Amino acid sequence: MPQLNPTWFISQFFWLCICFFFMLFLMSKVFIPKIKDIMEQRQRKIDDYLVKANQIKEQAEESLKKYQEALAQATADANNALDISRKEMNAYIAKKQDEMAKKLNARLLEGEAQIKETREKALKEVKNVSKEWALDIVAKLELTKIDAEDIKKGVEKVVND
Amino acid sequence: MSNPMEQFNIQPIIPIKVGGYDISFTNSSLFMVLAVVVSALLFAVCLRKRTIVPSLSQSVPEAIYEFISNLLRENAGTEALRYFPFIFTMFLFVAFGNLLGLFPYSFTFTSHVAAVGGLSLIALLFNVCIGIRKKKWGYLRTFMPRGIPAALAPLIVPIEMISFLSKPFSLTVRLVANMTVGHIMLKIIAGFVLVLGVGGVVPVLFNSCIVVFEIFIALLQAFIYTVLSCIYLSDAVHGH
Repeated sequence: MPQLNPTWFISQFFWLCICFFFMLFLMSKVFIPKIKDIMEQRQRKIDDYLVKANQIKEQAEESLKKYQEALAQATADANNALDISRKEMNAYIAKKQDEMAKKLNARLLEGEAQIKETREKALKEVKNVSKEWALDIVAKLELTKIDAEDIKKGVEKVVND
Repeated sequence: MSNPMEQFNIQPIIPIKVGGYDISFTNSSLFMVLAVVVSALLFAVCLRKRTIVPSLSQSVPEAIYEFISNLLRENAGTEALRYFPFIFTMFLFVAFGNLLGLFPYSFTFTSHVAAVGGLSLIALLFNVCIGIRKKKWGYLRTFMPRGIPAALAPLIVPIEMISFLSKPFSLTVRLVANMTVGHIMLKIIAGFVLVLGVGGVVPVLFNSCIVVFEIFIALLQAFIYTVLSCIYLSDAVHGH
């Protein structure tokens, strides 16, 4: 087997050392720093973006908090305004209802007075007409025993009953 | 049919001798250099224009970086991340060595005991250095875990030493065996193509499937080699 031939052992080991250590030098001084550098730059960039993303997230959370506070405040204000309006409206309605009730009451009283007056007038009229008719009937029937005073009393008794 | 072991022969390209030692630049050395050059070129091209939002090409080295980084973190902890370049280089070196060997007429240096054994030895020495730097003389405790009676030391210490030294050995054998077997299989099946004439289409198709499988094996073995190195590194960083 050529692999076990010791003639070339020293030569191979010598060139192996030269090649391997030269490659080690190249890698550690040239290529690895280049790769490391670009990867670190990338990591820094990613970290920067992450920091920015966190800042934006915090800002967004703060804005959301402010918005929620503003919304809560606006809701509370609106509820207060609604309460005040409701109270004002209720007071206004109560006031108007009172006014209307008073007016209606006054009208009712007025109507009742008118009705009473009209009724009294009508009764008076009925009495007069009844007296006249009774007088006419008595005159026509020639009932001399009944005078005007009796008729008046009789009519009033009938009407009042 | 040619010998399937021929593909593992080492051919000197530039003969070099220093102090009686042969350190010739061979086809194996060439593919080690190519592994370095190709991986460096790939990274250079992919990382030419770096943007925060990565392009498809830029995401390739980034994905490898992330993958090895996670692997090291999971197996050896965050403390071991300071040794990331070593593990990262080891993964790329083995992965490119395996993958380049899949090209026709190429050479797979990861199928050679000396190359992979050397790499495993480097990893072992690296772990020992980390262990000694972290724990000073306390590192020797690796060979004599706490709670074991002193009377058992003559038995435990050699066992622990063998266990310690067998780590690079097992790493080497696993990778070398996988690469060797895969390439022998490819070569044997390829040998049938010319012999069978028109019927050679069948081994070509079969070999195409095996090449896809071998690409998977190449990456898997690089992954396994790296995972085990991470675990051994974890032992050095955190103790036995």
